[in-house]
Amino acid sequence: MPASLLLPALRETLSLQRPRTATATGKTGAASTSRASFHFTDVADQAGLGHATNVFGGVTRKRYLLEELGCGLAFFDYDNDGWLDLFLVNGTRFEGLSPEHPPTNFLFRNKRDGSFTNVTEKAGLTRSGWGQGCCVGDYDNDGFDDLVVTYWGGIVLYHNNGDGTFTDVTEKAGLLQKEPIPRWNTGCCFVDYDRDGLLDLFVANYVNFDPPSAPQPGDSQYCRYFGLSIGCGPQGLSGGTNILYHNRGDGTFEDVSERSGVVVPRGPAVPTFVSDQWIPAGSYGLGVCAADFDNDGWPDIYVACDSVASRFYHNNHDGTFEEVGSEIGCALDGNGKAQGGMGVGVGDYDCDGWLDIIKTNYSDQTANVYHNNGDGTFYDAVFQAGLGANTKYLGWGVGLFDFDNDGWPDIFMSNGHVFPEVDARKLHVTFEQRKIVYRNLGHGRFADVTAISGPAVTQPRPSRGMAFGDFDNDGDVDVAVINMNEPPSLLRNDSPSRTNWLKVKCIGTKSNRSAIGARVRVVTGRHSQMNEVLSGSSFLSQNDFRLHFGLGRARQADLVEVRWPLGLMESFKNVKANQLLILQEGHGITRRQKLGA
Amino acid sequence: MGLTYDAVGQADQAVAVFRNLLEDHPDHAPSCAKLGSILLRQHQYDEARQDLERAVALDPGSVEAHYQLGLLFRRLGKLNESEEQFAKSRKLEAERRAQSDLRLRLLLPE
Repeated sequence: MPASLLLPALRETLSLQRPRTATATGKTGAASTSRASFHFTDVADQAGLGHATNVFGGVTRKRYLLEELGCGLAFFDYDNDGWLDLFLVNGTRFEGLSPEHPPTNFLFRNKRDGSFTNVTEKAGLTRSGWGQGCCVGDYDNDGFDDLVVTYWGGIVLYHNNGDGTFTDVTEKAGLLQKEPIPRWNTGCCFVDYDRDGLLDLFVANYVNFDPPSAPQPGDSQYCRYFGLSIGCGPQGLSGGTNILYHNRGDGTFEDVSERSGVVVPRGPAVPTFVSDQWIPAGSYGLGVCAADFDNDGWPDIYVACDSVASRFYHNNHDGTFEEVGSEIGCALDGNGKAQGGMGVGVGDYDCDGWLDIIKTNYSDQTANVYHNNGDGTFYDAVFQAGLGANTKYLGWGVGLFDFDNDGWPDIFMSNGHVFPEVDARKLHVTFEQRKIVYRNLGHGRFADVTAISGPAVTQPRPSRGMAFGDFDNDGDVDVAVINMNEPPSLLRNDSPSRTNWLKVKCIGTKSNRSAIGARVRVVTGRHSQMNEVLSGSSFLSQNDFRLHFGLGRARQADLVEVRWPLGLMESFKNVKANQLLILQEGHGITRRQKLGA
Repeated sequence: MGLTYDAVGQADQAVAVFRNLLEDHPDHAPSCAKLGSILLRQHQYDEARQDLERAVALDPGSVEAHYQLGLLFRRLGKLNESEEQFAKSRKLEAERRAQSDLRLRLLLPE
C-alpha cells in the first residue's frame, strides 16, 4: 500500500484508539486538551476593516455610564449572495467630535476573497448616535433580511430593499419612541412569539438615564470603584422597561409590552438616582436571546441583566409571558446572588437535546453556565463545567460554536473593563483584556485553551460585541469583535482540523422567512446535536443564520431533522458532510452547495 | 476540598467530603448548604431537602440555603413553598447588599 494511502488510515486508526478523544459519534470520552489546538488570526486589516474605528465615549476617561457599554455587530447576508456581510454598530461621544463628520455605523459587503468593501453610504446606513446593538430578521417575509439598530434614544428599523440599499422605516412601522426622556434600548431580537408566521420584535432596556440630571463621578458610593471616581451606575439608577412589538403583518408593529407581560419588572417613568440603599426597580437588561428552552415549540425570551436578577420570560402560548428567571434557576448565581450580566450565548453544550445558557458577567464574578435540566429548570454549572477560574475578566460577547468541528460546541468570550481609568491605578483589572476560549471536552466539561489559541485571542483589547459566522465559507466558524474606540477584530478560524462539518440554512415559507426559531438536529452514530436559528444574542449582536455542525470524523450525517417554527417536521437521511444544505420549509433540500478552503 | 471536587466535576467525591466534614462538625451551615445544593443537582431530592433545611435551621441568614431550597421546592412542584424561600433569599440578599453599601460608605468617605 502506498504511504499516501497508509498514513491517513493509520492516523484514523490511532485516533480511534485514543481513550480520551471526543468524536462526533459520542462513543468515546472527553478529548485531551493537548491533542488539538484552536488558532485564530486577526485579519481585520487585510480584510479592509482597519479604518472602521469604533467611537464610544471618552477614550481615557468616562463621565457617564452611557460611555461604558459599547456596541454590538452583525454577521448577515444582506444581499443574498451566500457570503456573510458585516454590520458594525457605532456610538458617539459627548465632546471632541467634529459635527460635520459624526461617526456612523458601518456596513461591509463581502468581496468573497477574504476582504470586504465599505458600502455604508450606498446602503443608506450612515446614521449617527449612541448606537448600542443590532439584530436581524425578515420582518416582511420578502426574502431579504432587515435590520434593527438600538440606541440610547430610540430604535431604528431598516427595511432591506433587496437592491443593496436600506430604508429607515421606523416611523412608518410605528416604532418611533416618543417618550420625553430617551429610552436606553440595548439588546434586541426578532421572535415570532405568537407563531403567526410574522417576526415580532423584543427590545431590552437598560436604565433610565438622562445626562442633564445624571449624577457625576464620585458623587456617591455608586460612582466610585476602588477609590476611582467613575461614571455612576447601574447601582443607584432606576431601571428601564423592556418592550415587545407585535408585527401586524402590514409593515407596522404594535407595542404589546403591557399585555404580553414583558414590562415585568417595570422601571419608573423618569430617571431617578439614589446615593445610598439602592433598591433595583426596572429591567437593567442588556444581552437578549429568544429560543425554545423548554422544548414546547414556543419561543421564550432570556435577558441578561446588570446587577440584578436576569430575566426569563416563559411563553404561555397565548400571547403572554411569565417572568420566572429566579424561580427556575437561571437568574442568579448558585448562591442566590445577582451578577452583572452582559451577554448571552445559547446552545446545547452537553448535547442532551435541551438548550443551555451561557452568560457573561462583570469582573470579580464568574460567568454562568445555566445547564438546562430538561424539566423547566436550570442550575448554574459554572464550576462543574470548568469555567469558574476566570473571574478577573469583564465579559461581553459570548457564543457556543463548534470551532474544531468535533461535534461539541465550544465557548468564546470577549472581555474588556468598563473604566479606562483602572490602568493608571494598577488595579487587579485592566481596561484591555484578553478573550477566552474554552474547548468542549464532552460530558459537560470545558478546558481553557486561550493560551494556545494564538495572539489574536491573547492580545488584550477593549472588546465588546462579538458575532459568529463563517465569513470566508471555508467550513469553520469565525469571529468578529467590536473593540471600544478601536478598529474591530476579525478572527479567522485557522484551527488545524481535518474534521468534517455540515451547514444548514433554513428558509421559511409558512413560518417566517428567516426561519428564526427553526430547530435542526443532526445525528451521527449515537451522537445527536442540535441548534436553533436565533436572532440576536451574544452582546447586542447577530450571528450567522446558517447553523453549523461539526461532524468529527464522520463523513456523513445519518440524520438531519428540522422542526420549523410553525411545527412542521422534516428529516433527511445520510447527508454527506462538508456542504451547505439549503432547506425550504415543506420543500425539503432545495439546494446543496459545496463550500470549503 | 469538597468544593474542589465539585468544581472538577467529581460530585460524588464532593458529597463524601461534605458528609465526612459534617460528621465532625454537624453545625457547619455552609457545608450543609453546599451538600444540599449538590444533592439537588443529582436529583436526590429527599436528602437535598434534609440538608438544605438543616442549613437554614443552622443559619437562617443563609441566602444560598434559602435560594437552593426555593429551587428544590420548584422542582418538586411545591410552588408556594418555593416562592416563600425565594422571598426570604431576596430579602436577605437585599439586607446583605445594604450592609455592604454601608461598609463601602464607611471605608470610602465623601
